[in-house]
Amino acid sequence: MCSVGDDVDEEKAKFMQKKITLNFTNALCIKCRTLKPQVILHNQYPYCKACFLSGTVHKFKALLGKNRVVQPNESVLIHHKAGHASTALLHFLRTGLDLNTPKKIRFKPIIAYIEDNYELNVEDRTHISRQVSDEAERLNFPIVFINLAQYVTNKSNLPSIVHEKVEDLRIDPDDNMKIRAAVKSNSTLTTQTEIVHYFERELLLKVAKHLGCQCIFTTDLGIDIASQLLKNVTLGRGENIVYDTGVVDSRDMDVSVLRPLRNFTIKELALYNYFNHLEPVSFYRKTKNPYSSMQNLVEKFLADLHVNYPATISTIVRTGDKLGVNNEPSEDRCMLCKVPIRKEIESLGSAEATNFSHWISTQTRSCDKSLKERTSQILATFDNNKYNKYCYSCNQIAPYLCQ
Amino acid sequence: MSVDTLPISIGFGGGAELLFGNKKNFAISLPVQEITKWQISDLLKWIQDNLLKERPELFIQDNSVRPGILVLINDVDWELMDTINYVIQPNDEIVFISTLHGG
Ligand SMILES: [Zn+2]
Ligand SMILES: [Zn+2]
Repeated sequence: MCSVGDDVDEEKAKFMQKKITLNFTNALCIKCRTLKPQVILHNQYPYCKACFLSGTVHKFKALLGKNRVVQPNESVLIHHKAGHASTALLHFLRTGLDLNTPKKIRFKPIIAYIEDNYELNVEDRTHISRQVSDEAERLNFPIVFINLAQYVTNKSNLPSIVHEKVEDLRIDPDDNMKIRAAVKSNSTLTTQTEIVHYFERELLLKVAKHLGCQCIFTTDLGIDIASQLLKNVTLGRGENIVYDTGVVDSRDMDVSVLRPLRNFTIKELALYNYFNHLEPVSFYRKTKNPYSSMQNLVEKFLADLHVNYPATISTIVRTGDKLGVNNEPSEDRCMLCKVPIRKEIESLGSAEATNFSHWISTQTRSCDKSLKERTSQILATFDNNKYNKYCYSCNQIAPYLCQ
Repeated sequence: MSVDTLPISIGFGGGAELLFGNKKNFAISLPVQEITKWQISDLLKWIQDNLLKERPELFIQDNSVRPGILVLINDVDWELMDTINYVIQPNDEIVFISTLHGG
């Protein structure tokens, strides 16, 4: 079976292909082989409009069908992030819900919009939130609005900050300060970004539970998955990769996270929206300084590479898909990112070795003892469990959390 | 159609309209005295000189559109139409869609 975007020949090349220019003067759609193509995907596969649109919807449904994480009548939280991906996802769902065939979607989506555009002014932020509200209304979905800064300043009272009407969403000029206050000011932007990322994830899960949702759909595209994977590698989060980039993230016991758009490119969804006359909520974000954080640098690296090597994203995503977790299932979770923490193991891994080395270099030598005595004393007092509240990478950023 | 102009319509979407005073559609007439064969690359220059008010770097880059902006000519992906080298015909509909999504 073949569908839009799945036609990439995996065996073809050992190395990524550089962007090639093909001549499509007399080309026909590669699906129906009858109509003139209107869209070219992955730089080489021409599709007519009808085959492109049906293939796009099919690809979405195939992923849902393959990963039956949602049962009929269950509620699903849709994480709306503005832009093409969110609009296309809502349209896929609306079309599926309105079907009268056995393929009808039978779960109940609820949109969650987490407001965090702190680099914009209050007026723009209000305008964007209203546009999101209008989109939800047009496509007939219930929606809730939450300001991330309000959650971070008062984590204990969730119901008071989850609003069904956009008019009730409070947007303050000092929200940016509130977010920053949660992270110590001597931290790097890399650390701040990490911490805020996990706050957002925590909030999303709490909102899902608050609204009785068993599942969350994200709008992560292939490029977001690839960039998250590289970020995890650079930040020493190997153990997070499977959870952060897989189709289903089952880290949380009660709510699973599904990434239904991870096999899509932004081009596919932008053209899907265009042909369906859908205008996404859009605004210009401030250009990020690529050298100010590891995350920004990874994003720039990927975006630049992708321009000349269109196979970049799919190569990274497919490589990530081959990774798995082979730890003993563990009940202990990292307090911040919530990945299972590895149990005590016989030999020390690199994380334990780093902990040990940090610990030993901060001990004062007792000079009145022999080397042998000192060694045995050190080994007896080193307690690796002290580091076990957090995973390796969160241990590095935990000191910057303001509690 | 008058002999000395080339009437076309251009459109902006996906956020590209924000660079053009939030206006999505323009009916324009390109002068054919100096340029007789208008290519998309000429149109991009014309847009930069006549319509684009601010932050041209968000729209134009190296003689073409910035990567991340899709172009459709009469609802056909411009990559099927020789991109910047396509010769514009009277009444063509040329649409620019921004995909520069944040995260
Ligand atoms: Zn076709
Ligand atoms: Zn962690």
